Amino acid sequence: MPSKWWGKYDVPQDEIRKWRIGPTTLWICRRLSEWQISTETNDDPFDRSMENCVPAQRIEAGPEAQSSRYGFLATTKHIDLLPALADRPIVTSPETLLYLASGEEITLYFSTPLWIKLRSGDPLKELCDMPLFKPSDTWFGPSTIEGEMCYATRSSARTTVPDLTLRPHRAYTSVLCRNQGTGKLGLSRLKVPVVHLSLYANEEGQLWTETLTLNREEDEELAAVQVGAAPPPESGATALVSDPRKQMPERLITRAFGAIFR
Amino acid sequence: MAEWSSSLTEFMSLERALALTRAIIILMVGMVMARSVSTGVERLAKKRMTLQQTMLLRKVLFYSLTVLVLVTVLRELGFKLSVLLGAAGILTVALGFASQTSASNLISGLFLIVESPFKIGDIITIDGTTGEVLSIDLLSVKIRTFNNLYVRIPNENIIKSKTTTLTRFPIRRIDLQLGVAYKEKIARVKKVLFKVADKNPLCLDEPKPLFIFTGFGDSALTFQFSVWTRRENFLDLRNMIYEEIKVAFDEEGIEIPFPHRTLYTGSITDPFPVRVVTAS
Repeated sequence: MPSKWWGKYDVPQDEIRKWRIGPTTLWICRRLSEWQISTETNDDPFDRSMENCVPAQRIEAGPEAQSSRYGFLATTKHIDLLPALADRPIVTSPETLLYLASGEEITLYFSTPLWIKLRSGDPLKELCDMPLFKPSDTWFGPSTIEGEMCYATRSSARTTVPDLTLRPHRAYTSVLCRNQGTGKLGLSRLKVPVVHLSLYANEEGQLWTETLTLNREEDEELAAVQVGAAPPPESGATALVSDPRKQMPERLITRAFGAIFR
Repeated sequence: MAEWSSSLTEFMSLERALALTRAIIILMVGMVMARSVSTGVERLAKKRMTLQQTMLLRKVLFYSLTVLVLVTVLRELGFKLSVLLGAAGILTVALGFASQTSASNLISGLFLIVESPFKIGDIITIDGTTGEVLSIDLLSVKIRTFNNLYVRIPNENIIKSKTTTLTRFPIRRIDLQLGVAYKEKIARVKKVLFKVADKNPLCLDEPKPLFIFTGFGDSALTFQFSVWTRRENFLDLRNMIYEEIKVAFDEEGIEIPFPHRTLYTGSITDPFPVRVVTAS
């Protein structure tokens, strides 16, 4: 099985190539002046299949497949596949409710689904930006009036280093939660601002983000966010694959800890 | 004719001609300035105020400057303003009596703009009419109903009535009233419903769906199942989720009952006697 699915691929004119990235199957067909993209996703968010640029005679997508077409004056033979993180923050929960006493800290690990960006042309132009497995929407905030829309990950936040079997459509993140407030902090839900994180790949092709630190200083739910310079040591030797969607502001304070939703 | 001609000549003396010219210039320049200033202020205020507030500011500024320009023009032409103001005062009293409703609508409009219970583009329900707000004017609010009708609602009515803004908050809850046969286990029904909500991509994970057992109905166990969604997806989810629940119930063999009536002829149920009558 290949170790990575992203990169630049050649697609001859009037031919179809197929990729299988976890639960998503992607068909790319190149015509003289258009690219035709079809995707189909199965129900298994932890599917680990991977196939790269396999020639296909036809697009074998079912009725629920999504298709789109992108027009060009004349298409070039290269298509560029790039992984990206979600376009909204991700909300994760520890396996069971976890309390952090004042002055304590803990590192949590979780995985998030990836997005894929398809680009072509010279200079490269973005054709589409879509999730490899669309996570559920969720609301994160102190009430139904105040808050923001996020994605909920099915992966629980664990305190142990995750099983490092390759998951081509997910990226791992390690989050250090630090309680510098005076009272104990209940971690029932955690909002991680992945829009400010980059993607790195290790030698096995597994994607990781930089480490993230959430410092709870005073208020129960707000945290000062710090993004590390690189993924954690347990990820191995890594190289940068894609930049964050949004640049991290100099100082970011955000609502990151959710108590039981009221 | 000669008299009329000489009166005209006297009127159109050089001084008056100059005054008239000045008045025309003041009027033209003044109107242009009034429009430019009001438009300029509107552009600056757009960043800090809502659409209707900037519209109101532009109109108030424009009309105030126009009144100033007109007053200056009238003075230039030699009219005595005190006399005009006196006449205007009497006219105002008369108009005030005649336009009580309009004045009430006008004041209500100002309160609406300050209070901002809704803005242009919001969907509101008032007095049984639901639609999208097209404009919030000084006397009335105009809405477009979903079947594309144009409805004008006086501001006074809005201030006095209960108005529901359906698009105020980003998420909304859909309350489904359901019933299952008495033979079904409530815990199993609950599990099936939560699974349906979990599978549906439009249902939010948080706030979690809500299951409320509402009672032992005449023919069914009744309950409310509430799910949350983004307000843009409200209609789609409302249509989708009923169908998905029906499919899930059918797959699980959960019966949705229709009203039952059992007839007894007393303490012992004997068959009802039936007599066939043939036409003679």
